[in-house]
Amino acid sequence: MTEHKFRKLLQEKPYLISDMFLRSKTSAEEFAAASTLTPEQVLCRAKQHLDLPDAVWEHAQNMLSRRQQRKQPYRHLYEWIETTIKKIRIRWRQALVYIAIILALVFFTLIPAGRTLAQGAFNYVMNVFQNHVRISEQNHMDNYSIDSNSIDNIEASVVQYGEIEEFISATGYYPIYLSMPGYECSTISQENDPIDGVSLRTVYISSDNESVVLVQSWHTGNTIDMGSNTDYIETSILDGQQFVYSVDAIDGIYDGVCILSDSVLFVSASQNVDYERVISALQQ
Amino acid sequence: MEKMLSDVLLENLDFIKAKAATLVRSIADIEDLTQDLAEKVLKNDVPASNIERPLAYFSKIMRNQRFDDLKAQKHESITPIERIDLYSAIEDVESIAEYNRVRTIVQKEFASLAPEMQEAFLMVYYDGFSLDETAKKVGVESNTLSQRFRRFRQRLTKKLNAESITISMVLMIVMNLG
Repeated sequence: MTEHKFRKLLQEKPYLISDMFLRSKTSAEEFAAASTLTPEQVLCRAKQHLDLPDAVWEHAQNMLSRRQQRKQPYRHLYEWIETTIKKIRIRWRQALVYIAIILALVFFTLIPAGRTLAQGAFNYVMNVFQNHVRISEQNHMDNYSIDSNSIDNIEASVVQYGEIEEFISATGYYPIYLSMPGYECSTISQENDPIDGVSLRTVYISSDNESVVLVQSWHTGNTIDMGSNTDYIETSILDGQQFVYSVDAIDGIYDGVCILSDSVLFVSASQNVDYERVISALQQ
Repeated sequence: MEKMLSDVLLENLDFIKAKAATLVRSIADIEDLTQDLAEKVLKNDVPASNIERPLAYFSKIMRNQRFDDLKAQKHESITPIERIDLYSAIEDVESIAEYNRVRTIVQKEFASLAPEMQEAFLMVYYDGFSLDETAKKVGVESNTLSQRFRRFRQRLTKKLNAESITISMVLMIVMNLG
């Protein structure tokens, strides 16, 4: 038998050598684990039996405290976790509600399927207000943005004019107007808004009550979004200015927009209007 | 602050209790033996660096304490039946008989050693002292001690072989019995 094996055997089974030993090393470890004697208890009992200087007890106590702190570096975290778990046990119904809300938020914001559902629901709700807020499903979205110089000191107001020239005199802006046989200008209305700037709204009515509305805005720098539920068509007006329009598939309303150098022009016409004639009839 | 021997003791209380459990029967006895050791160390506390192997030192103190207790209690005798972990799940009489033969041979050989050699043997193989430390304590050269241990092993092997018990059988028997 080698020295190593012999040593291992006797360390594990000391009772082979002498009857003084009662257990194997493994059994002894398992048996001793049942003992609840702690270092603190040993120290406490020793204090009762021994008369030693205070420095000795202090040193031992400090060592035990340091050992305790080393064993639990995150005791504050553990205590917080314990307290939180206790609170959740007491108010488990509340906790369930919060968890359900968080899960719902996560589903409707982070999960693609949930986002689609949320988007669909939002659009459905908004479509209930068809005639008041017209937001239909966006298949094509283009952003046309202009940045014009800001117009200082604008106060919200509406000014009515009888002639276009009056508007030009008052503001210095030269608006686009419609010169189309059979259509008379019935309204020339200037709207001033601190955010949207100056807008001119002109309404042209035909003898058979068809209408064309032009709205031209000299913006203070906001981005203009335009969307349509049908395909839009591009063309050019007024010597090469890009003009985008669409005809609504549901009510036949014609809507178009043109971004000019200093303003944005919106053109809308009722169902039976010949909009190609309208485009060609626009003048500045 | 220098680490004292009592600090090492309190830090390794589980080891000390396990060592005590090889010597005494009950949990109460284990705790008493541990407490006695702690009080001895606290009374004569020294820096831990003064002792080369503190755990082996504690083991020796407890072993000697137990030996003194046994000598004082002349009426107490440890019979094979009191050995706790050996016969717990064994119904094989032949294995028990084989085990008893091995144990008898080993203990007889051990008893044939001189008392200082028995102490050296326990210091090395039970307490965990190094050969050099033990040789210093016993008062012999470490080579001499190593040779004596080797001769002991060889004698033991011879005796076991004479009883038709091979070393592998010894290992098998002993390992299977608890």
